[in-house]
Amino acid sequence: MRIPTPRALTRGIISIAIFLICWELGARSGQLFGVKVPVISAVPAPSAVLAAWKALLGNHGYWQSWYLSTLRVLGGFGAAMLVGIPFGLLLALNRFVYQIAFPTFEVLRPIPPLAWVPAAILFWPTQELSIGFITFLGAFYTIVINVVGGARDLDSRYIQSAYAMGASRSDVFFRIILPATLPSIIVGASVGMGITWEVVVAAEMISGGGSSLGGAGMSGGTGGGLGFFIWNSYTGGSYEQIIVGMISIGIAGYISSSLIRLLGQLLTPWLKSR
Amino acid sequence: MTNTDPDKKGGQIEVSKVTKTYGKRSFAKTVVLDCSFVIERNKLTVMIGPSGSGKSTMVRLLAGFEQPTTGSIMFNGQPVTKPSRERLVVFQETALYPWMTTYGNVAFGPTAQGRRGSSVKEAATAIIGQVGLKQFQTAYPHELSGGMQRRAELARALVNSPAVMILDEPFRGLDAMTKGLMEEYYSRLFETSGCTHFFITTDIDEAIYLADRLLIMSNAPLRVREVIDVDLPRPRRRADVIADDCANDLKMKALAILHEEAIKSFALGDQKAADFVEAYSRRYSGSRGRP
Repeated sequence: MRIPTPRALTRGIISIAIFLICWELGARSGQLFGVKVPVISAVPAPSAVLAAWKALLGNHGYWQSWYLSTLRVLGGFGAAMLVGIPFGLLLALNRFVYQIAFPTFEVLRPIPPLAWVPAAILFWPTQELSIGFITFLGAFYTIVINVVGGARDLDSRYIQSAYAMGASRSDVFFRIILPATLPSIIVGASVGMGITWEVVVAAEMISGGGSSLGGAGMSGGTGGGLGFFIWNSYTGGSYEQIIVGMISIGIAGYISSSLIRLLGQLLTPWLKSR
Repeated sequence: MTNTDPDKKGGQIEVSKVTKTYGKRSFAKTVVLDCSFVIERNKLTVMIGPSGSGKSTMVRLLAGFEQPTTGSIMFNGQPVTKPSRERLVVFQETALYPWMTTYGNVAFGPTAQGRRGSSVKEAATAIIGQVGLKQFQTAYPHELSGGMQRRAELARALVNSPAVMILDEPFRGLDAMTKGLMEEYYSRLFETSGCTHFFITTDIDEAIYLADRLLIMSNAPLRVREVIDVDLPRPRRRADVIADDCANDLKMKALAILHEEAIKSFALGDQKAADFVEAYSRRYSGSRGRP
């Protein structure tokens, strides 16, 4: 990953600082200026959120939420990669499979993953599987579309010259088609990862976060994932914890995307400094 | 060159009455029409014709990527039915694999043919050195300049010791300086390679400088309009070729034919030919005006 220059780093810190200061001033505007800034004054101030966060750091339930959401994201995302990449390649390379499967795929694709929630809860035997399935869908379509696009864009001269030089079909697949598609796979993966976090949180909220894993605790949810943590904080009236949950998701998503970008750069050294 | 086996060297391609038509019935478009010519063993045959005349289609037929609609293409007496490492193509614009280093690209052919170990390394390194890219073995194609990319591509083909090298406008898109250097470089490479070369271009100076035999093609559909033997001594130096009266006569003759060909297509209302006439007539009169 590119290391930011000191100047870029400073600006990044300033950006966040300005955001926090505006937020703090807005949230406390009633006390400080006697005039309430609409909307923002109803939000807990960052200092209050930080205090709530500090209190949560030793809380098992909070970390359990992190753990469960991460596990679901990894599960759904991993399954989507495992199924999506071969399926995408098959669609791109085999005209018969493409003509048979692609129309159905294209009809199912516009259905938002969240629209699947009721059906998923009904048709999958456990809550956990329904959430996993929805998470999977979030990443699956994006990965498949990117793989299909990447593999179909492949310059036919690459394949022709490889065959001319005596390459076998497996050579052409592993040394030409796969590396040529790799950048698209990585783009699909990083976009898919983002969608997975969006979807898992919503699915946890709607489905109740797996009630078998523990009931609602007042100190910020005990174990239904970060989405459930937020929902639970809402029903429990802890507004600071809602914000803590939201920021936690932001951080989790950022870390996941960074890891994928890093991995992507390691896997595609030829795209460096383009 | 690495190829020292005299039996394997060179190859001859005979193209007889080849026609290539795409599409069916009312959508049919004939791109190559009744072409017959011979690419002689260990000679450098240059095909010149306007862009869009179907030369690249001829390349795909010769390489075996596609089959002619009628007629036959024989390679050393055998019909061409599929791609083979006996007939390798260097494409217009680079077709190096972007995800492989220079070394990876050059070693692709030998390893794809199942060769392993030090023999591959030796052969690839030797050829890379020969084209002057020793310092760029671990560079990726996008890190190379245009001229280096073409040399890497020549190396990638040459390492397979093909019997025939087919080059489809390989120096197109290079700046004039690099192009001139690459032509001289390539000319020497041909003289030492000891195999058959087939070179396609739209540039008459490049054609005369390189060719043993010049095939002048018509506007689309592609037909052989004239065959001219270029009997200039080798090794050739550009300065000699420019000063050579015989070479200049050949150039005038070739340009006259190309011009006449363009006028004919132009009379038939071909828009492409209009551009062609303009470009070539400017060139033709310009060259004739020179002392």
